[in-house]
Amino acid sequence: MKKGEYIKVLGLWLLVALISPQVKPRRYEGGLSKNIQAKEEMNHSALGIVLGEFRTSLSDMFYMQTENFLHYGVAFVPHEHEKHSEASEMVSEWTEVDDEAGEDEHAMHEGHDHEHIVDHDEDVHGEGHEGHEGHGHEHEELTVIPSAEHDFRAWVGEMHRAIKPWQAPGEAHRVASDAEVVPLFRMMTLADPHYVKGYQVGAYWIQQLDAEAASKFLAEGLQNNPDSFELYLMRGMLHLKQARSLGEKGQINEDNVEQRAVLLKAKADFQKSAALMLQVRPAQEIVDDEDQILWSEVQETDAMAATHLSVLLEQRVGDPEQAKRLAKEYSAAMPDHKKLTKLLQEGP
Amino acid sequence: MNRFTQMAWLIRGVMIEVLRRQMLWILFLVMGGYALVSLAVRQQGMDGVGAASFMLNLGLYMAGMLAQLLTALLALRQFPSEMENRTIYPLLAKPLDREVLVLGKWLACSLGGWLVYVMFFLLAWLCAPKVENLSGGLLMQLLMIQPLLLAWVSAFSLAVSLCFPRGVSHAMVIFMLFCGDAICQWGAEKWPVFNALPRFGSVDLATRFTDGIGAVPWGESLWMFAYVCLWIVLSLDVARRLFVRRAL
Repeated sequence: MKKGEYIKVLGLWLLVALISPQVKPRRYEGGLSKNIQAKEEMNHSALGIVLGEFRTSLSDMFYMQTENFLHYGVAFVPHEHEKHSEASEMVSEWTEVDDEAGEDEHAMHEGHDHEHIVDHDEDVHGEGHEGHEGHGHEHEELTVIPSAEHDFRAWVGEMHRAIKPWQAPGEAHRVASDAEVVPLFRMMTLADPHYVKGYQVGAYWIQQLDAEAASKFLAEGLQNNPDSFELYLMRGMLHLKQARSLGEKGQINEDNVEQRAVLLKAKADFQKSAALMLQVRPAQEIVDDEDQILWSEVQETDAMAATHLSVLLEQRVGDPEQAKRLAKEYSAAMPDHKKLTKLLQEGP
Repeated sequence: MNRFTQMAWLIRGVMIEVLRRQMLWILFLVMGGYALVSLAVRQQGMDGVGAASFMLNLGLYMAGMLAQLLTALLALRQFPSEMENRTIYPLLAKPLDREVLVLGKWLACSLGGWLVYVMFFLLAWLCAPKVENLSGGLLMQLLMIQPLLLAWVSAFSLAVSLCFPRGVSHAMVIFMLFCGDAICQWGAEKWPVFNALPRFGSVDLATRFTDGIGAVPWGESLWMFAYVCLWIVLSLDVARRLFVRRAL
């Protein structure tokens, strides 16, 4: 080929390469396997039982693997955990104790952080106390292999319980160490870059080992899911933790320049999260309906945390008047948010 | 004989070859297996949202993938086999313009793949349990992009088959067909040069369709169509230049 022809071909190839990043028809939120009702059906459908774990997408399969791993191989029936105020609870501890005894004594404990983040994820981490052997459950979870009283298979059942990991009802719940689940989260998000829960929960586990890596992981999640309010909330939480790590004994001091800079980043993330959340959250009457499947309890908890932290940080490191305006705006959409109401009543 | 008649004869020749090859019938057997399972699922009443969507997704994915595979294998063997068997000499002695030969082969392979896709698509659509609330707009986009995707696979395979030895070209095309998109996604973040790789999987709308997502917005779909069309032009241009200057 002549030189001019080479240039033409290379020019065309360059054009194709430039267009390539614009082609993302598979960039969308959710999907059938993330719909609560559809997931429920999958877990109970005859086809699901026949096809086992291959019934769902690859990332769902990895997610189930994390569950098995964290429960020492004991397979639990998909379940909803007991009701908890999750992130809001953690936030309230942070703020209320601050109010009473001064913030220096009330750094956000890692345990709280953990509870918060792990509680996002209902099925995988249970009560989320990794490494806490023998942490008890307030309720009884059913294992896939039934107990002797509920098993019609007699000696076959006995053998099944003996050779497979199994846990008797009422026995203390144990959750395995975290480090080895990290590759599973990496794989599930590679398999499905729109698996927000994978990024959210994965970032929690990764940040325990390497905060920088967790931050990169979340950045990737946000690049693939720019409209996910959960991921902005998560990144805000990481910033919050980073701010604590900069203070003495994990304390937060807004006058500390370094901490303040990080808190401002956290504030921006919480406010972005709250703004995105308000765009997708259904009306309050729908959220209140127990039978609705549009908005899960976990999403509502995240929503509460995002709005509360957004107002709280605006109050502390931003403009108190703006904080009040935000609190009013959020309260209008979430009239049941007690923490916000309280903040509004207290004023700046 | 004008150019169109020449192309029509070429298409006819390739179609006869498709029917004579075992490959087509093996693929039909695979789709037949899917159809049987799918019908059994319907018969047993396992047609909840999850199961129905899973079966339809599997069927549409298989229809697309098998048609692409057939197109690629068909296109990959066109020139190397003709040259090896020396059947290309009588063809060119007709006389047949080399450019017409490339275009005719490309059209024939694309058409063969598309016909197979239509049959497989109908089989999947009719046998899978019914899924509610699917986007009609997206279905239209899916059916519009699929012939272009097959034309791209065909043009790319022809170009690669003229560049590399038979084994290498087969491995390369099949690898890009199944892993091109994943490799590109993995590498492009660090090295933008990865964007230059063909991402056949990026325009596969079957999963988006069965996930119950709406049609791709106009802006995005224009990028998508432009991307595929440019790849077709690029591949055909490379194939044409390589073949026209080739010493036979």
